[in-house]
Amino acid sequence: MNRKALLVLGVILLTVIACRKADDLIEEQLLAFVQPAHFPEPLYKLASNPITKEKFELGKKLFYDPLLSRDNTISCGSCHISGHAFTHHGHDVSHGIDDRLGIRNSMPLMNLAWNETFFWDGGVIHLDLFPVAPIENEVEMDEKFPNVLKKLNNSPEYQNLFQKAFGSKEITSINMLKAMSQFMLLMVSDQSKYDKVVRKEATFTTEEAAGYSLFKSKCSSCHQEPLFTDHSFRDNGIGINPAGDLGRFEISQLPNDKLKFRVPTLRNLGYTAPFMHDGRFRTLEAVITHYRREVQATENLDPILRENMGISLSDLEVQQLLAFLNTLNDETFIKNPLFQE
Amino acid sequence: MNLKHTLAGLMLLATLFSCSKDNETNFNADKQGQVKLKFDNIVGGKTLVLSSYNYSNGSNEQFNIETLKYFISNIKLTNTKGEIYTVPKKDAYFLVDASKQASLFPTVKVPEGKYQKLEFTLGLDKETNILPLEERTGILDISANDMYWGWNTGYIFFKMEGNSPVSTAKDKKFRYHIGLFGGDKTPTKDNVKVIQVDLTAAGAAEVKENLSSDIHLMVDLGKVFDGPNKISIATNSTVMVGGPNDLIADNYAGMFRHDHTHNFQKLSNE
Repeated sequence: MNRKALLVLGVILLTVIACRKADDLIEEQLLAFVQPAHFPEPLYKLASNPITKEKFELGKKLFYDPLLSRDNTISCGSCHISGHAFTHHGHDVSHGIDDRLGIRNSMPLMNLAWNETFFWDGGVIHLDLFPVAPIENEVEMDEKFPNVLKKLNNSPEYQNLFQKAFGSKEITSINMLKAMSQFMLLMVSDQSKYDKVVRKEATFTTEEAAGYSLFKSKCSSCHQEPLFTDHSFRDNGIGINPAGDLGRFEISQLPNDKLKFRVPTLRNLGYTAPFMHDGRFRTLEAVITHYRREVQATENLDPILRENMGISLSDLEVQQLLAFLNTLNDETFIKNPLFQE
Repeated sequence: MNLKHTLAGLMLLATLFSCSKDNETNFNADKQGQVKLKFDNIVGGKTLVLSSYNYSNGSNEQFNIETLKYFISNIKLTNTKGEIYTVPKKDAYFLVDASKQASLFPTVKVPEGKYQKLEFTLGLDKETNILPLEERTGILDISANDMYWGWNTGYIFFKMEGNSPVSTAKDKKFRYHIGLFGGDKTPTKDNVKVIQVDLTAAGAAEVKENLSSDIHLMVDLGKVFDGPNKISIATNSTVMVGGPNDLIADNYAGMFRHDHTHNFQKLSNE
């Protein structure tokens, strides 16, 4: 072998090693919480639950494991489908165990590190405490949380995985929920066209730009950028449904909370129909029609809506607004294999 | 020495002894002794025996009690000088569970002294209800005790369940699960109750090192129905996050009465 051949071989070898390293790097990057530059600081204290590959993978396994339900048939992923920004697409209210129907539309899961509260009524105050609610809800997974821990502790496979992730094969409320939080914390959606425009990597079309300025004058007081929610609870005048769901009142028992629900994010609306807490609006157009013409003068109707009994928009403006709302869809997020079963 | 002198001498001695017994200088606040809170659960004037005795309330409703649990926290004692001692928060979380004998006598360490006022929280305050998950261990573990609401973040402060023929529930049970701590960032109803017990009338707690002062409290669960508010099982068979939980909490805030104190008790392992 001459010197030239040796050199070529050396270069190839180096390249192979470099590639390996790059692959590892990509994996490391994917498994870190990356703060989007145009988002505020997350509310979740990441230092209290540092992301590791083992914990994230364990959280993902738990998310997709029907063991969490009473009869081992329903997983979190049954109603929170990654391709639909983790909603139960096409269902107005979620279908749980024994095909029981809930009274609420399962919320999309994304950007949870910035949430002040969870669920339509804000009943849960921390991501780490969040999975207990659907596990114990009798129309969702209908299992007792202590029993889930018992089932996990009886599984040699889980004992082994917890040993690797947490250095202890004992599965407790704390390490089980911390692992689940890791999976959900990384569900960051910040790759929509809107985000790219903010980062100056793209530009709006004329129609989208017109829609954006309409949005800023007529919608953003509640759906604040960049998360497109102000995390508050409001009555938007859709009125009570046959289930008699009073929203935030069910949690607080304060009369001025009747029919108030959490302001949902507008991100990924293209994948998350139907809309509102009970999924009564099948299309985005129907939601906008509500604000234009169907707002009811309920007891706690939000003052902003009470002012003009809704939001006035021309037909052209509706088209512009819809064009803008479309830029909030994040295809990279819903297709990310990191979150898929 | 004649009899008269002897008598006078004895009287003097007796006076000296009795004086020294009351003398506060005998307490060394640098040393700690034990205070034991004895929760003696009763209904009206009748001992609580779970799933056994029959009771009645002011609405003439018959019932028994199968489950009784309540959280006690934030224990404070005020001495005769008006100084308040607060037991370290982490050492003052207790769950009184009528089915567990050992849980009925929580003990805490307190500096030596004579205490005339006892204060504690019935339930758990906001600070405890919003603790990070990793600090929720022991009796605060959310998977322990069945005293936590997963869907409405917060602990159940007081849980009483039993059977009654007038219950409107299918299984003829009544269930009172009282919680709600006032909410984290968005307010909710607040049923956290601070209980103050005056110890002067029935005996101050005198705390000495290596000894226990046992404060015996009668806890009348009949007050749950017949306090400032009348609660009827027929009208309210199930009260949890919905229903008159605030009225029940107002009622049970008045169920503690100081019966007596046993001071200078030898430490036992009960």
